[in-house]
Amino acid sequence: MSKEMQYVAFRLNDEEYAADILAVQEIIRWTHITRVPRAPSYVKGVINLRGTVVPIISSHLRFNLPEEEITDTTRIIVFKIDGAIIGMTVDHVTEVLQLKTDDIEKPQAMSTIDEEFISGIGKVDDRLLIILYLDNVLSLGKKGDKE
Amino acid sequence: MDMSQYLDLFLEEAAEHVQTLNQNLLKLEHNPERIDLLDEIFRAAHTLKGMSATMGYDSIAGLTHKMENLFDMLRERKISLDAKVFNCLFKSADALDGMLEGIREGETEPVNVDKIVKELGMLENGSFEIGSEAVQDDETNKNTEQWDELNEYEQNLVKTAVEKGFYVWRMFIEIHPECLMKGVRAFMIFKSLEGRGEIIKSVPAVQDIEDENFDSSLVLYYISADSEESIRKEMNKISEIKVENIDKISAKKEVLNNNTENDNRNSNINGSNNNKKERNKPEGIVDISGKKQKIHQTVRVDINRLDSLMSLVGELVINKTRLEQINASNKIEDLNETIERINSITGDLQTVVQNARMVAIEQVFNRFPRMVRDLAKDLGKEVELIVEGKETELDRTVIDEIGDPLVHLLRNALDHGLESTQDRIATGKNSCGVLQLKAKQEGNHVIISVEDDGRGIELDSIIDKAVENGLAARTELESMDERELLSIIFEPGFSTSQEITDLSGRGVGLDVVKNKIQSLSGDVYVTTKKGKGTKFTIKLPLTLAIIQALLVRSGKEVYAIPLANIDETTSLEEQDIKNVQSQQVILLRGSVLPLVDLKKALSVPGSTKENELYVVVVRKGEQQIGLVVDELIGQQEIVINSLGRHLSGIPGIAGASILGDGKVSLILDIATLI
Repeated sequence: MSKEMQYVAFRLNDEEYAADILAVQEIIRWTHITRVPRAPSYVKGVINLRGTVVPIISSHLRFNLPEEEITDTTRIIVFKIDGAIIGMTVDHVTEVLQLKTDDIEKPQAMSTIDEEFISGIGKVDDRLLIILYLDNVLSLGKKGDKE
Repeated sequence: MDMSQYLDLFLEEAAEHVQTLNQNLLKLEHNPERIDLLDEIFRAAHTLKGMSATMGYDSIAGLTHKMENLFDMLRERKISLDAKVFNCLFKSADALDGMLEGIREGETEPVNVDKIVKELGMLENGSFEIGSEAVQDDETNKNTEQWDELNEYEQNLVKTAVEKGFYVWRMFIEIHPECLMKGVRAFMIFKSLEGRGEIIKSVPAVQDIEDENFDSSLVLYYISADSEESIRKEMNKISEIKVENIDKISAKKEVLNNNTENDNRNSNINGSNNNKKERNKPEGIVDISGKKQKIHQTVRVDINRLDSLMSLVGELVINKTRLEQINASNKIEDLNETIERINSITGDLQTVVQNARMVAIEQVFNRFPRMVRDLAKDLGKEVELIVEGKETELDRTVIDEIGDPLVHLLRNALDHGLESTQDRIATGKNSCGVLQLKAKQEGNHVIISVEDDGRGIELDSIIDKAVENGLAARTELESMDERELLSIIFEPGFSTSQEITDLSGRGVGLDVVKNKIQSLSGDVYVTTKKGKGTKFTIKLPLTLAIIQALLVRSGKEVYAIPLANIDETTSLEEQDIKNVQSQQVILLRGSVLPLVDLKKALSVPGSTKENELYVVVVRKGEQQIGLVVDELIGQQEIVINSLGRHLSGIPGIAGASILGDGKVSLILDIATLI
């Protein structure tokens, strides 16, 4: 049976990505980020999110893309996974969309990013969305870390 | 009724009672003549029995019931306190512990305690017959008379009290005939006694005594856990009175109830209506258990509530700082006073909340005497454990974490620090080793030390082991001084895996100890004297949530250095810096201070050279280091926030703090920075 799920779609460079909306706590604008020395390179730093210190990772650096430029459309998606809050920068949040499980295919080596970060490829009309495997993307200290 | 909501409370309290059992058993083992300890033990067992029966843990109730029986017999000296009894009691305490643990882990399988119950039963019965029945008979006769003086209600009180493990005394007190204010003397007697027990009946009645409407003698019925001796001692403090008799009353003669009732009726007719009065007195039924120990008024609060209270206070502090900043830039006269007030109120609030989170280290220390006793027995060593400073208080979070490292250090000391008895005698030492566990507060820190008077650590063997494990080259090691060598035993690679025994080896896992202590923003170091002993010292911050810190700037970044780590600050010019063996140093009042440039250490972007540099002299263990920064911003209270589990454990960073301007600043962890 086909189930519908909601995703937050966003753009990095020229590719479109999607993240399970249930893991998203909020989306905020760019704010002052305090660099954390000696942290993994893709960690941009920490921010003050209404009194809570939240680590922020860069999606570009996480996926081994060249470092992002901060523009008006740059956003931080704040995720909450297993009670831990962590943010990720993205170039452009496009929309919230629904995908049927039927429309999601197994990941394949089609993207520039590491396979372990992908849980599937979603198809909407003629668009292809890379659905992120958030557990791996957001877990620091696991595979894929480069000091 | 659903009991699950009480489970946590039950477990916590039950654990406390088992602890009391253990502690007092230990004390009793040391001084078997202190029968009064048995009362405490009995009370703990009794409460435990009641609690577990209510919660439906019948096996615990059963075991404690058996223990209670045994204690009762011990108290009446029907059996003697020998090693067999102690072992069995300790075993029972362990079994209780095990059962509680089982409940905590959610095991449904009841622990089998039949064996211990049987053992207890055997002890109980084995000596029961040999008991002194003759003596008892004698006592009973005397009791009968006294028993008759009490009415039914009072008799019930006596019975309950005896069941609960209290003594009931009948005291005959004579007030000096020439005493001018007999009423006052009597009042003093009452006052003194009621502080430690309950007077259930007095002849003449209280009202008559108050009116000085009595002769010179008093008869009091008194329930207390105190011994005859201590009551007499207490009474001797009051002048112009004399305690003629103190008799113990037991509640065994229930057969006589009928007669007594008749007697009472007679005495009522005789005009003294005190019985009726006493009967109406509600105080009579008040449970006097625990009277001996001072009752603290406490409320158990979920630690999470305290945590959220603390974080709220934290936010308040942040906003207070923000307010101060606004005021500093806008200079509003009227605001000054209010800010001052807010300042002092938040300060007080912070202290109160912090104190609410403080727990005496006793909680942790209390389990050690038992552990040391058992370990020493296993190892065949004689050890005396001296514990000092149990009352020292630490933040709850620290208390929860500090137990394991201390266990580790104590085990180490027992196993490797202290020599075997033969070796000690051979080297002319007292055969009994001394292990000292001390805690004390020093300024904003708590110092905990574990010291043994054993063989000490041989520096040569550290070198051998370090070389063996490939930690450093022999030549390098040999050039090190004692302090540096000793710090090697905390290195991760120093431990060897060849010892998988129950006991830890000297050096095995000391890195774990160090890590734990450092994660609590503390430090640990060791000093040793060959042949004289070894001392591990742990230094911990009093509290973890809000600290005083110095804010410094390096490049464009602001860091906070805990004030506790700072010895002093000084300024210097570029040319003051000298190079010694590729290490930058300065001369500070004649001594050489190694420098670390924060910019380099943390790879701060941008390399703007500034003319004037500042040095923050920080302490790392027993070593001083100068941190070079661009600017000293000032001292401030900061609230420590964790970086979250994703970023925890970065060397040099202890956490983050939100400053008044809303930006996040990182707190440096000096111990791991360099």
